[in-house]
Amino acid sequence: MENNQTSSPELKGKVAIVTGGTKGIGKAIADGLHQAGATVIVTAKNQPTEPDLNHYFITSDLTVPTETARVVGLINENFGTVDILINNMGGSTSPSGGFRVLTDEHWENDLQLNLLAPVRIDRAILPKMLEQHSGSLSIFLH
Amino acid sequence: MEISTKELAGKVALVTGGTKGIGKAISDELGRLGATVIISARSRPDANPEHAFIAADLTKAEDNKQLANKIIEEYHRLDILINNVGGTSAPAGGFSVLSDQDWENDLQLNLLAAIKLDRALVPLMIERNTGVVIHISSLNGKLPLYASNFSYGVTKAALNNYSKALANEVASKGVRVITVSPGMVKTTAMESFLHSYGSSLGKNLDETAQLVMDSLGGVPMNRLAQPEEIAHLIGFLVSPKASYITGSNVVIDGGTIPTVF
Repeated sequence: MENNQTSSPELKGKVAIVTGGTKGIGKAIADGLHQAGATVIVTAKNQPTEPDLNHYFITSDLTVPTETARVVGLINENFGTVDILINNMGGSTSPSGGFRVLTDEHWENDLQLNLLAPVRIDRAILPKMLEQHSGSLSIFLH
Repeated sequence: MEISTKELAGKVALVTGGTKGIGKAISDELGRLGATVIISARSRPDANPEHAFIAADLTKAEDNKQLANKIIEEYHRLDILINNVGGTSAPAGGFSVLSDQDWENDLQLNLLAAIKLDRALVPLMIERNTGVVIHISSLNGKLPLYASNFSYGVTKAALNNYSKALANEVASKGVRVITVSPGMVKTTAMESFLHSYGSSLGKNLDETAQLVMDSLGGVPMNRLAQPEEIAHLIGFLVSPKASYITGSNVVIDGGTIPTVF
């Protein structure tokens, strides 16, 4: 039988972060990682209306550069080294309408949310994964 | 009597970063083909009397706007816009050494400068239902080089995507938008990069050039391009001969890219 009830869950003992993990794809990933046995920490700008007791939650707007150090510090302090990082956060509030309607601020917001925030988070978390050199699973949904 | 009309006679062209390297070669080529050429750069060239010059640091929003306004006020039209300005001053050494400021600088220089200038000047082309915009990108936008040029490649990749989107948006309005991705080109910027990269490794210029070519998986032509070779391609792309080319990313790399994509 493939279904061996005594086998421990695949991600038992792993610490996972899911950015933007309260809704949509992020929430589904967070739930999946929890089911696979990982300790899951979810970040989002706003606290979910219904708290999910299966996940730890940190309120943070990671498009604010100084937030990365705070969030990663909190996680390292309380959970140790991160094994799985899901850079799920992303999106756009830019208007439709082509090149003329996009202001400098629209471009800057999209760059922060979809590129620079993940760059900062990777820069903060990857060195410890590399130090650990234990083949830690790191998934990037950039 | 023999009347030879030059291919770009009557056209007004702006080349950003047009005082050195590829930009200078493009300016000279467009001038040779008959265009009225305006070049912009942060500092005035020592000698380049054949082209009009406008000083502008295009990473500054105010300079960017002023350059566009001067073109509109003085020339009332623009047929050819060569977004050539670009580069990087980010350090080599991979993801962990790149600061927020390094990323911001590369985004400004390689992506946002062109976006701002296009936003101000492409409407002028649309009004007249004609124009060509060239984005000088880099092979690095298709071929990531984490050790030497991480953020530069990322910002050029963003430029590639932007250029394609703009091409699709304005294709029906008479404006063509093309990306050009050169491989290694023998410019002063390339030489100073090779010099600083080489001195950190204790290698001379030729050895460093070979090393970088090897890191690209080898350059089949086994040499760097001359800036004029890039300029000849641009001369063709902005001409009526290339009237069906838009949205393309034209790679000019002596065979460097090893795949068919």
